[in-house]
Amino acid sequence: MARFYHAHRIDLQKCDGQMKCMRSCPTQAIRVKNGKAAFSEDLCVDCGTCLSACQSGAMVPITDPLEDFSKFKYKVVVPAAVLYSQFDSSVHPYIIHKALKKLGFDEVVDLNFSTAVLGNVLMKYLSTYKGPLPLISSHCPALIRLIQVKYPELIKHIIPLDVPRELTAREIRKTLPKKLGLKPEEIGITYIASCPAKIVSIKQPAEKTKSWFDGVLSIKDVFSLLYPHVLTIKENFDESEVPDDFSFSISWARLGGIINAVKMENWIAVSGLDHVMKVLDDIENSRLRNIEFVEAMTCMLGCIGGPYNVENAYIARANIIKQSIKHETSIEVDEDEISRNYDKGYYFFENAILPRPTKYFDTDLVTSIKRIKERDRVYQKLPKIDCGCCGAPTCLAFAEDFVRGETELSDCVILAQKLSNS
Amino acid sequence: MEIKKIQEILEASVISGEGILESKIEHIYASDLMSDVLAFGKADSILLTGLATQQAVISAHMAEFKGVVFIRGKIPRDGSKDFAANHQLVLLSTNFDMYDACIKLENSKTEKPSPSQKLIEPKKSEEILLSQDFKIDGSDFTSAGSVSTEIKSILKKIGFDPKLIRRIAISTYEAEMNVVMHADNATVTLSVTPQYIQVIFEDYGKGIPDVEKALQEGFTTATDEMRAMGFGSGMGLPNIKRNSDELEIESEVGKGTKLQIKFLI
Repeated sequence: MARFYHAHRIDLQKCDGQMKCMRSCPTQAIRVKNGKAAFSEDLCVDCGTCLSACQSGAMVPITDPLEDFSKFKYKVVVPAAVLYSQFDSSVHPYIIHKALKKLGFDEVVDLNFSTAVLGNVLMKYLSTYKGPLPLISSHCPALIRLIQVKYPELIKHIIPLDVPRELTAREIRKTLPKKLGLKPEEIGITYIASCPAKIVSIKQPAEKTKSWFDGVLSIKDVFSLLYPHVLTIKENFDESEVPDDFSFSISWARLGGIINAVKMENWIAVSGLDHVMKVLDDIENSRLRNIEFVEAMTCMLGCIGGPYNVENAYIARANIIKQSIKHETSIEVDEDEISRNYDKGYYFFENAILPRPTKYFDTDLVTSIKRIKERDRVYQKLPKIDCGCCGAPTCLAFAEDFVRGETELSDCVILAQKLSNS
Repeated sequence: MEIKKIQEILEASVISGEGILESKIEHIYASDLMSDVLAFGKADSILLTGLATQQAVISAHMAEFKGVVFIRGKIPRDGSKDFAANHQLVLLSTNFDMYDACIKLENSKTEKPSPSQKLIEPKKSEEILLSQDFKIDGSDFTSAGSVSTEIKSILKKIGFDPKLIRRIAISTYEAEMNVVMHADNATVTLSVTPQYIQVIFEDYGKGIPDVEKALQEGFTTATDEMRAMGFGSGMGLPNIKRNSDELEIESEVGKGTKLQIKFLI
């Protein structure tokens, strides 16, 4: 049942059943049976926690091979702003542009222009917004998926504006073919992502029929190829070779960056999945009614905490701050054009985000309630220590699996021991 | 029904528990699958099984059964007998097979509709599909919201409409906060029927002197400290009223308040 695309798979040869992924999964999507992990496609929200947790290299990211892009006549790469945070501030961002071109890309386009435009658009949207509060940022695709799966009633709180990466690719698609005299399909646009969720959002977007990107790489894939070039270029680099029109901005890559851009008054910025879930629970209970805007990122510290980064998230954060001071340039946007596009609905989601509520017991109401009661009865008989030896993350999850007929009570090692010894 | 009666119907021999044949059972459960016995068997039952091992006896004990009948003349191994004797379990052995034994017991029930009628659950309780209690402590701001979150997760698991769950989440959260702010403690009862979901908050505390007034938006008796924490904006009861289909409030000053909130499915 491949209803939902996921950007990782489990290499069963490498999986040695350590259960680290199972214990770390925030939606309890993973079970370990006969020493091998498997995940539920319905429950997985692509947060990538399992990829960071796995010590055996069995959680394999699915990305496009770099060679795949050679089929395009003109290759454009759009790096996530986080890519720059993987280098310390002595590396001028222009060096990274040059190094990316060494990998075979013809042009490097940053997110900074779209970010500036969307900051402006966001302020416009907020100033006339009358719906339920707080609004939730739409930037983190794992957050969107988490809301679709576990908090479907909060979909209407998500700001329905497109994100910088998609807007950037869309603009490239619109202007570049004319400029170069090429057919649109001759231009390949690639994104470099910091997490599996962004890859999924490009392969199977929640808010549009098709992404504006042709492919996607991970920072991890690119970094090892990029780094030697960065070192060589840096040796002979002179800042005077940076073109006058080179602009750089990285502030949205930091948690709280969006809030800073839109100058809201009552806001919170939250990161890390368990903290995000706590906040979403509070919003569902109407507890945060005095808050107007929630910037939420499922990775700790925001995108710099993404599993495909190579640098420690705290060092990356320090890098961002230093780079902002050293290299940031101001970006001018055409407000009239933005207004015209805004009125045409240009910046909004193409399709509405649909709920993806989990059917725990795919039955009618009465039967589901019966199952819940059975689950609770079984749970009472379990040791309640969440040891995980049965292959389910908690005793309650095990009881649930049992009433769904997916496990045997004797799979509980403690119960089995009691049965054979008492 | 007394176990002795079952022994007579099934013409069974007694393997263990000769002295406790008068003990009464409430249900009969027939299965060879011990996980089912553990999961679905009710306390004070007798087990009919073809599994003549010690595991059957131990499972029956863990499920709080009073005895085991082995079918087709089976006798469990020695250890079982000692275990049964130590744990007050009756062990019987009948020559009937599982099907015939069940039929025999079923027929005996219809012939003499005596105490065995208890085997059929009373009609009334069928209406309530689920009923669960929770406790809230007054002034416990650290765990405030946990009961409403738990109720929400139960309803989500069952698979109710997210819109309905949201209304219930908001109402129960407000009611829970009211208890935390104003009462000593409370019991919360969640019940689900095919027609509606009801949540009852029954608290012991100072009570509401004027319910009409408390239902007005913005009316609050919260302290400044509470308001500084973001609570007590005087929207609690009005919010519950707005989000529920029926709200009944009974309150006695100095004793407590009972809130009955109903949501139609």
